[in-house]
Amino acid sequence: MDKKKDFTAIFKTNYPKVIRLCLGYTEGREDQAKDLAQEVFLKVWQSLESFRGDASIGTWIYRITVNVCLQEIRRREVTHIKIDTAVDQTISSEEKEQQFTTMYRCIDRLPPENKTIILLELEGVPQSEIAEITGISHQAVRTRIHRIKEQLSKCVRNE
Amino acid sequence: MNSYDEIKNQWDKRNVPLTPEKGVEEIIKKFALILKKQRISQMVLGCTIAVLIGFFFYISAYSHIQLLLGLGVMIGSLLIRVLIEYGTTIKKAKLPLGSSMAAYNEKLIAYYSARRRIHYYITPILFVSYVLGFVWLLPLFRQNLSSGMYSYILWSSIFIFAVLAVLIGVQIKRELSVLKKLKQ
Repeated sequence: MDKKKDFTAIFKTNYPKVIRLCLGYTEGREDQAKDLAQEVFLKVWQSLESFRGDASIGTWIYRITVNVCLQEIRRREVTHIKIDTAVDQTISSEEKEQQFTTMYRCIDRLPPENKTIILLELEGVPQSEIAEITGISHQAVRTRIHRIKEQLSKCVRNE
Repeated sequence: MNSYDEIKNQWDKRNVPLTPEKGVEEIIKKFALILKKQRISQMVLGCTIAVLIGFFFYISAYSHIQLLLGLGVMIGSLLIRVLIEYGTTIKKAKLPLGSSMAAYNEKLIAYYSARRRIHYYITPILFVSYVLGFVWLLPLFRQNLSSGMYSYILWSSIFIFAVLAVLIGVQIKRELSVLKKLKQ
C-alpha cells in the first residue's frame, strides 16, 4: 500500500470540508484556519496506519478536526492570546462582510460542544454522523441542534 | 439575517480557501522536521544525563559523603523531573485524536488529572529535594571557594530558584485551567 498515494487522495477529497470547519472555529480567519487544517492533516498522516476503519474515513477526519480545533481554542483561552480584530475593522464597512462577522461572532459565543455540533450541522453533516463524531447520542444531538439554532438566530438578530 | 435558514444560506456563501497544490508535500516535509526535532531532543536529553553522570565521577563525588548526597540529590531530582516531563509528553502525543469528541475529552481529563497529581505531590518534593541538595553543598562551597564566588553562587542560585518556582507555578496554573475548561 502506497501511503503517500492514499494520503494525497484523502487530502484532496477532505481538505475543503476540513478548512470550512476550521474557519468556523477561527471566526473566519483564513490564516489561522489554514494552520489548523495543516495541523489536522499532519495528524492524519501521522496516524493513517493506525486507522482501523471502525468509522468511515470522513468521520475519522472530522473527529480529528474537531479535537485539534478544540485543543487550539482551549490553548488560546488559557494563554490569553488575543485574536486580531484588525481584519474585522477593515471589512466591516461592507454590509455583507458585516453579516459574516456577526454570524462568526455568534457561533464563537457558543460553548465548545455546541459550537462543534452547529458547525457540523451547518456543513450539512447528517445528525447520525454528528453523533458519531461528537460521541453524544443521536437523540441528544437532535434536541441540542434545535436549541442551538434558536440561540444562534436570537444572537444574530440582537447584534 | 434573523432566522437560522438565513444563517445557513450565509454560511454556504462564504469564501473558502482553495486546496493548496503543494499541501501534501508541505505536510510530509513538516512531519520529517518534527521527527528530526524529536531525535535532537532525545540526543540532548541523553547527552545531559551522560554529562551529569560523567561530572559526578569526574569530581569523585562518591568519595565525599556530603558531596555525594548534595550532588546526588540535585542530579537525581532533576533527572526524575525531566524523565517525567518527557514521558507525559509522549503519553499526550499518543492520545487517540481519531476518537469521538466526548471520548477524547475523557482521555484529556484523565491526562490532565494525572498531571495535576504530579504537580501537587511529585513536583514540590522534587523541587524541595533539589534546593536541599544545593543547601547540603553550601558548606563545601564556602570551604573551597573565595567569599566573592561563594556569594555569587548563593545569590544567583536563590534568584534561579525563585524564577524556577514562578515558571513552574505559571505552567501548573495553565494546566489546571485547561482541566477546568475540559470539565465544564
